[in-house]
Amino acid sequence: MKKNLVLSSLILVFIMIHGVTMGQKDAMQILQNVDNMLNAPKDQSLTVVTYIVDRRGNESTRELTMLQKGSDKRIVKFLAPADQKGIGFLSLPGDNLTLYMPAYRKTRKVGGHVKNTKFAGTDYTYEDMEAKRYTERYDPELIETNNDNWVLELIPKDGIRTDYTKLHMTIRRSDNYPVKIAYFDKAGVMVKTLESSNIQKTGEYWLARQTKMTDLKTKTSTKMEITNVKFDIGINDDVFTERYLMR
Amino acid sequence: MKRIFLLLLWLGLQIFGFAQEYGGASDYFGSVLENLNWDGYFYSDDRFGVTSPNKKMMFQEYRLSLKPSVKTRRTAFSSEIWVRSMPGGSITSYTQLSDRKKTFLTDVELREAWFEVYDIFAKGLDLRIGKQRIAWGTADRLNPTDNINPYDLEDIWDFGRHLSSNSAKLTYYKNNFYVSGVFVPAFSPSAAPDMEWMSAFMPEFSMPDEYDFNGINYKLINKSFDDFLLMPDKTIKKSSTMGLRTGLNIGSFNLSASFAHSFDVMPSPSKAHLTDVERVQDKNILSYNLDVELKYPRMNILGFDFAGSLATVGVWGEAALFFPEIIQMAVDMRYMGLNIRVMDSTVIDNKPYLKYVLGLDYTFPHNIYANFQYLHGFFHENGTAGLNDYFVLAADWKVFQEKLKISPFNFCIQVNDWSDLSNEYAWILLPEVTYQPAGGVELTAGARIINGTGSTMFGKLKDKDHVLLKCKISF
Repeated sequence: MKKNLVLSSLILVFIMIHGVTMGQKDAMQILQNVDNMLNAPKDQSLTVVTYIVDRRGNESTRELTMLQKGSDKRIVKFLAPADQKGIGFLSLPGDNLTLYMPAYRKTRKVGGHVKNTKFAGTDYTYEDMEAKRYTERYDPELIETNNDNWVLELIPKDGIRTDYTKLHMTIRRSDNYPVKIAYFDKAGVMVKTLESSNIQKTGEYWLARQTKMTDLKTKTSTKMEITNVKFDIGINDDVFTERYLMR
Repeated sequence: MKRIFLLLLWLGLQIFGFAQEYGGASDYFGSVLENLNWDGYFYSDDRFGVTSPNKKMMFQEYRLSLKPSVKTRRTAFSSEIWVRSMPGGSITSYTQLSDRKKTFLTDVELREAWFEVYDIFAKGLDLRIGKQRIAWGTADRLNPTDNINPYDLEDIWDFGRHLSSNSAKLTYYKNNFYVSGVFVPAFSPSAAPDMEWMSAFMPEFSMPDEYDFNGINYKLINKSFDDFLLMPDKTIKKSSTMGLRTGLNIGSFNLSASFAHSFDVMPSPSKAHLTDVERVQDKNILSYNLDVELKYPRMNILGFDFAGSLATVGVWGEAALFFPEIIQMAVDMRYMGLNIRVMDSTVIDNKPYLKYVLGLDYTFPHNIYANFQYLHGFFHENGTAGLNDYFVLAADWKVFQEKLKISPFNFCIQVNDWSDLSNEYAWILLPEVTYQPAGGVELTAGARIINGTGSTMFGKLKDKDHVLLKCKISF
């Protein structure tokens, strides 16, 4: 009897540990699928119009062009408004961020402090705008499953510099697309949400044509609308250099 | 001349080559016209003095900047034209009112116009020719290594503003490494500020106040002063500026090293002529007119700069080691029946001296940004003993989605002599508020409050406190 009790307990512990491990593995697999889906194109060229809405509902716009190769090289340049035209930034692996200010005709590596500041007056931070793979930055845990979505809690891995203490990512089960991300600050308070909509298949790839970042503290929002997109156009590595950033 | 002709011919062939890539010259120029962009801005700047005796309009500029530019796959053209209206004040008679050049002072200036060809000789090799700004250094507006273009000091508060130079720049890029050579064939001087502000940058020298002649001691009194600015000979050797800069990225840092064969920013007195020497009323007093020759000393400058991130703090630094040409002032007293006499007055020693700047910036919560720099040696200072210390803080708080920028604590402190701080200091407070009522529109109100001792650069301007109103509309 005593032997059976010990055996049963061992089996129960095994099942529990195995279950937890399986849960984590599932979460990691889901996040891996998200990364694979978001970074499926070899490269992409986007033209984006942003609409910034203040708490009174006043709207201002920006237009930018974005080139990305793989999951970790991205270059962004402003096309409008006129006073921001030509400003650009280059995001490379290893938290490597370079800013170009045409008025000074210079590029400069920017400090990590800039990553958590607002990107050109939008509700996105430079960190939000970086090219990245979530699996490299976050440890996921599956916290909710329903018929349509999974919800993952993402905790930054050790050594990752970020102002967010956790993210809640809602992923559409049908295509692994993250339809909503909630961002939490150091006090554990939800401070921003990113919602993706108008998700369409362009060629072989899924893409949200509209995203909306809402700052819950300031009650402002920024909508990004992709007006033009091209995939797998063979963007050269030379594009992701300071030489190109200054052109 | 033959070489220049060959170079122009070769460039023409290159452009022809590009045209062929576009399917012919008409297609190429069609592509150029299709890609022509017209950007620009309107800018107004009004400043009103608030301290006696300068309670008046101190500065006014209305500027229209036009920036036509073209980019094609392998070429680029960029330019900037300023059309400006500046206050006149040169009218002295009723009849001059019909002279529009005197009643409306409009100034048209080609600030930049250059043409660039990418991958010209080989992949990664870019050539840019034309009137261009070559900005070296990584610090924020205070750049000791930025010595290719002359300074534009017309507005001394627009720190770091330079004129463009007619020049050629050839840069080779390979991965995250580059090397760039610059050649400016002809010297052009820095633009000086208005006479009211000039005192801050005027080169200082002293003349003897007495002189022994035939056993009699004469007191010397200066009646008038005039200066003659000697420009370098127009030969390539004597007039050109050239430089080499190389840099690379290591991790999250930019590093670069440079060499420039250039000129000092401000001219130095090299010879003084005493003319119209007269004895005053049979006393042992001689009065004279003073004519001073000024020349631009040659400088060789070795530079190093870096910028990057330590933890989350942005850091940068620049150092420039100057190897100046020695300048000794000679006093010509031939008008007193004497030969030239070289006084023991070395204006610029040929000993090397080091200027440097260290800076850091950080963004605090609530969008508060601070930028601090320590500078040893302002752009016009030279000689180890002539370099002063400057501490500059720029801090702003952006609110309402960056539509309002409040900068109450911008300041600069100058210290000339740490052992005599009470007599050798100056400070400036530069509070500003900037509001963006609409995209591309920027309104700025601010003040510049200056205090300090008369021996310091900014102390010389202490009676020029002013308030300002600026407007910029970009299109």
